[in-house]
Amino acid sequence: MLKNKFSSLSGGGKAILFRHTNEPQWNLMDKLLLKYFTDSLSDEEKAILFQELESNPSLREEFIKWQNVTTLSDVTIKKSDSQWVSGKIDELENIVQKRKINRLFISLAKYAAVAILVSCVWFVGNLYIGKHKEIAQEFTMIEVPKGQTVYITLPDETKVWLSSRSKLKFSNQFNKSERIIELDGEGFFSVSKNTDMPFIVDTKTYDIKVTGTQFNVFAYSESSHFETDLVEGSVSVYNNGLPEDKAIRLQPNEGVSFDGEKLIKSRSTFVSTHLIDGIYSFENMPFRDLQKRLELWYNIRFNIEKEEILAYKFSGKFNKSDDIERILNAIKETGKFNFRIEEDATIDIY
Amino acid sequence: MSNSFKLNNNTTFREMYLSYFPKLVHFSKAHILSQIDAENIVQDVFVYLWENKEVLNSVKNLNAFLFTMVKNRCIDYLRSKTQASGRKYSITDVQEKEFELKLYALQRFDENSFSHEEIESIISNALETLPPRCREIFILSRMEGLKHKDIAQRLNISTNTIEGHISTALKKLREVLKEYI
Repeated sequence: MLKNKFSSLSGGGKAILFRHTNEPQWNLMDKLLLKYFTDSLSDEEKAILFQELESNPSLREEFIKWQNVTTLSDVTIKKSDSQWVSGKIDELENIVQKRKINRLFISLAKYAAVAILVSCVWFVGNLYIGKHKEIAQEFTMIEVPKGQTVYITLPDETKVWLSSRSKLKFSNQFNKSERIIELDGEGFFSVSKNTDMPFIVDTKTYDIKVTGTQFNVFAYSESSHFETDLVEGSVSVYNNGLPEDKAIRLQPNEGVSFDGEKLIKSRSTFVSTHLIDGIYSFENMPFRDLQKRLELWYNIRFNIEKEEILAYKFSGKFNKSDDIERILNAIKETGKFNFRIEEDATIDIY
Repeated sequence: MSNSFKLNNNTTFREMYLSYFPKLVHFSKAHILSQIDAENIVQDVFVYLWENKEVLNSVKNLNAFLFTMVKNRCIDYLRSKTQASGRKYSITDVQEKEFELKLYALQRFDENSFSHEEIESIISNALETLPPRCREIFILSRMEGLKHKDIAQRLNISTNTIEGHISTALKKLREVLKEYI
């Protein structure tokens, strides 16, 4: 069969493969095979060789042997390798960095029903360190939309639940040379333990430093209210303008809050569930305190006509993804006030 | 630098990358035939290793481990090329058969049986025994990656002569590597 094919080709006069047409078949195929591995077979010759290989097991064994010779000699280092491989390792770093951010996207998408803005800001400033090495610092920023709670896992496996309208920012050095995150808003943190690299939450006025613990931070930059409550482990809280030895240390179930002048330590009333399941429950809470949270979570302003309402105490719970009208309707049921929503996100309470 | 973290055998990730990346790409390309796809396959393996560094701690034979990872991904690649449903672009029958043959050879390749130092010294010793012209042409073609027609131009000889010299060198290598193939 093969001989026929061969003679028909050479007989046709268009593809002269070999001069010695009387050579035995195996020899022709061996030659084609070697020619294949010197990268000089035409497509027509390949078609003949491959067809024969399909039906000829011993020729296939030969194919494997030549393939392995070629592979082994190709695997040895080539002269030009060092020129392109360093570019490839830079490319690798970029891929890894991008994938980190993508993974963040995925975990965000999983827990928040709406689009979250994750913006990466490149500071490719000309920061020269030592031997003119350029450092590119990249930040990941997470902004939680109004009414949403977001759960994320940071690169060090720390878990964070963020409240409505919170912003969290960390650099690409996070978990490499430091564990510092900037928080504007409210978050519950379950920090993975690493005694060599403390985890620091940097807020507008106070910083919180821990090694591995669970705690809550409430620190929206547009409000002077600050509080942190410890669930487990230990934390120290310090004014970021003062030396660290002025820090306040907290034990589990203790909290500190800012009274307008200084930090006051107290027993913690904090319930972490509202950040985790999105349901906020409160008991005997003066409207004054509830108001602070509602204003920050829903980006509204209250206009309170009767001063005494501020001291009224309320108990209840609501789903943080509900809109403000529904929440106030529920509170109104207690019969202690009425409200009216104005166009500019102001709510009159009377 | 972030890629300079130490692996358990006291080499850094960077050192491992620089010494293995080119070899693995050449290995991959010898089977899947596309330089770009070969680089992507090997890069993917290193991305995986970067993100799962702990995997490397239990590896006893790094060389065999890396070649196995790349080999498995190349096998997947060739399988998708030989199945019409896995292809993005249509290929000719000849190309399809070629991928089938490469797949067949790759599945039979035993990455556990060789050490690079050994192979490299066998190859360089064998090349020393070749006639100078033959050695020069083989090195230009296989070690420096020049095309036959570029070598022909540079040395002012025909491509047929080049093919002849490369065949001679391959025959010699097959002889000295017979226990490894």
